[in-house]
Amino acid sequence: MANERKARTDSTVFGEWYRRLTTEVIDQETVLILVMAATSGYMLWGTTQFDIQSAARFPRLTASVVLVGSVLLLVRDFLPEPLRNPLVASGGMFEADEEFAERQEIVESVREAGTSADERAISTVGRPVHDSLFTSLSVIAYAILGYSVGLLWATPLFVVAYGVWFRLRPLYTALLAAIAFGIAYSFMIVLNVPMDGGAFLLTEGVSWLP
Amino acid sequence: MATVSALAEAAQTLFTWPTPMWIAIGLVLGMIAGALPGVGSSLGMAIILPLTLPLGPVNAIVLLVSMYSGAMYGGSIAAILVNVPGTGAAAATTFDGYPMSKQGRAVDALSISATSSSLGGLLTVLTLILISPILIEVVLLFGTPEYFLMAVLGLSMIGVVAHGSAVKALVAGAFGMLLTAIGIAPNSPELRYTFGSLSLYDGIDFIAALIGMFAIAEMIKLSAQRGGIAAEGIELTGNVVTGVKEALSHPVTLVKSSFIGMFIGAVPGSGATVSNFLSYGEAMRSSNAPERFGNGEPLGVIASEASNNGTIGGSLIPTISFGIPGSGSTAVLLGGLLMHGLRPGPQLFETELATTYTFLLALLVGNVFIFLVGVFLVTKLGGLTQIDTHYIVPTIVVLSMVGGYTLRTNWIDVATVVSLGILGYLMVKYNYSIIAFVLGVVLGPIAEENLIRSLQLSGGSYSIFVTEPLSLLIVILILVVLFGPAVKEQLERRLT
Repeated sequence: MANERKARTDSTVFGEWYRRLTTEVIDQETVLILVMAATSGYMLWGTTQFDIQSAARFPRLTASVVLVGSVLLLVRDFLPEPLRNPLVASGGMFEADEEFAERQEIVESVREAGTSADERAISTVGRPVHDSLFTSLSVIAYAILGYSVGLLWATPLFVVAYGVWFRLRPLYTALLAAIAFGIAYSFMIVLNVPMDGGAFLLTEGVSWLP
Repeated sequence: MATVSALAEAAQTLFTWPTPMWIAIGLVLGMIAGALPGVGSSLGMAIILPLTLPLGPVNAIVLLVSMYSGAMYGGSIAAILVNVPGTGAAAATTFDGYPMSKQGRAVDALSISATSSSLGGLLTVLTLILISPILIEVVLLFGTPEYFLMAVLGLSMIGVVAHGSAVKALVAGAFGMLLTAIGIAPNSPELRYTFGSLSLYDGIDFIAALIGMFAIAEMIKLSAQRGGIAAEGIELTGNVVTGVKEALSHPVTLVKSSFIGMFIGAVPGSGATVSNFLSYGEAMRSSNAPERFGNGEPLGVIASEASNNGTIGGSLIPTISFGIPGSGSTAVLLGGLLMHGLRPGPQLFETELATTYTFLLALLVGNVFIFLVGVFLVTKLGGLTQIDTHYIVPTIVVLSMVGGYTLRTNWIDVATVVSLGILGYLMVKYNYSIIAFVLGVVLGPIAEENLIRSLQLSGGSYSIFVTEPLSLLIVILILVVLFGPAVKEQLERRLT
């Protein structure tokens, strides 16, 4: 009983900490812009290291556009209005009739409602972290596991992890895992791609597979 | 004469086994992709791309264009039966399609959709075939500098057309182009950003980028939504013949919507998501009883569905002529063309003219097939809309990862699929155009090659881009597209 209460308290503390982290501390758009700015900055610097100058021209041009654009987007809230407007204004070359625009907005908002409502909640299946975060992390784990032991073996494990997280019925999860294994196996056989061996385990593949 | 013989050769190829089989498979897969919630044409085509590797170029492209066509119709099934458009291309179909279903006319609505989609597609593809001799003449006027400028124009157009900030779209497009600089530089042995790794010598595979951006990003988004989408059960009642007759009794709306779709489709970045709303708005504006729209008016379904299939013909114009895709699906199609060694531009209109006509004719035949399947078998496809998204997500993720690895048996491709998938999810979430990004990735190598070659021709002088009338015209267009909206706003402010 005491353990259960402690677990619930821990879960609430984690939930609160996680909610604050994702809503108040980390702004995902800023992370996205920083990734683009850092990548373009590095690639722009990289062009100074090339021996052949013609090879530097294109990356220099595109990296400059990305760097300037992302820095402007990063500081848009601090810019004067004439500069900020083009950064936030929508393109929208094709505008619908006024009488119709309202209806279009309603339908689009209804269409997006599911998404936004669900994304506002931490998880649609009562888990302590966002479902999109779980899916992203599980896809990364799937790739790493696939590299380590072979995609063929990592595939059903990913599907089982996904099914357990989203509380799918065990029978359906098992069926999905079998189908996924079948897909990977078909790719391996039909397209002759080695997927039964990894970089760290089963490095030579599996000889008993047909 | 060359055009006629190419058409005859194309027709012969089209009806030679196994090409008809690939048309049928493509259409059925497309309809399934379109009807499945959250999948749609771009994603469906992206995950099928690696599987086309063993096929020849003709069959591979025929399969892809048929999928594109089928998915446009498939999207209307979910829109009509469960009020959730499979793709944005069918969003306006929900306005009247779903109310018709609730009134017990679901089969009527689906038959109207099949007839309008089929006729809209037929009309515009036929127009495309008819204007192709003129298109050939135009394409042959373009040289190396013009192709580079067209790539820049395409990206600029997306910035202006895209929903959300134009600067975000431009940054996304330029970022996509930048990533293609990884690997050996074109026309020189310089190694760029490879960190000494042999796996990066050939750079990032654009198909892996497409899979990541369209499939993984969408699956991450979809996994955060509730599983089932069917709010209330709709009974498939109504009459097929009434639906077909209804669609045929409004030829003006049908033709007008098809060509609105074709026109909008030809503008890079807009696509069917824009055209179906515009056509619906136009049908409502020109109707004698606009109050009936939104309450199960068949004209609404006709307008939306004729325009989204009409968009296909339009979006193929910049794709095959200049290598600038009009939409996400045509970006994947362009990826398929390049993957199978077909370069958009003069090659597709000279040496490969018969191939080009083959996939245009495949679209024509496909539209007849859409009508037949749509009218006679659609009740079977209706069940697809009820599938829980949580069964779709892991299946698509597995197909994407395995497909990504299959491309070159290179783990860099799997890393590309994953990293660009997560990046794409954030881009979608914060309104950065992923179409612009994908266009950047696909166009990057072509743009760089044409830029370097142009500068080699001019001895390093950028004046080559403004000395010829055609290139000067494109430069002016780019400037108008980029700065026009800001100048217009300033002028309006001063006048008021």
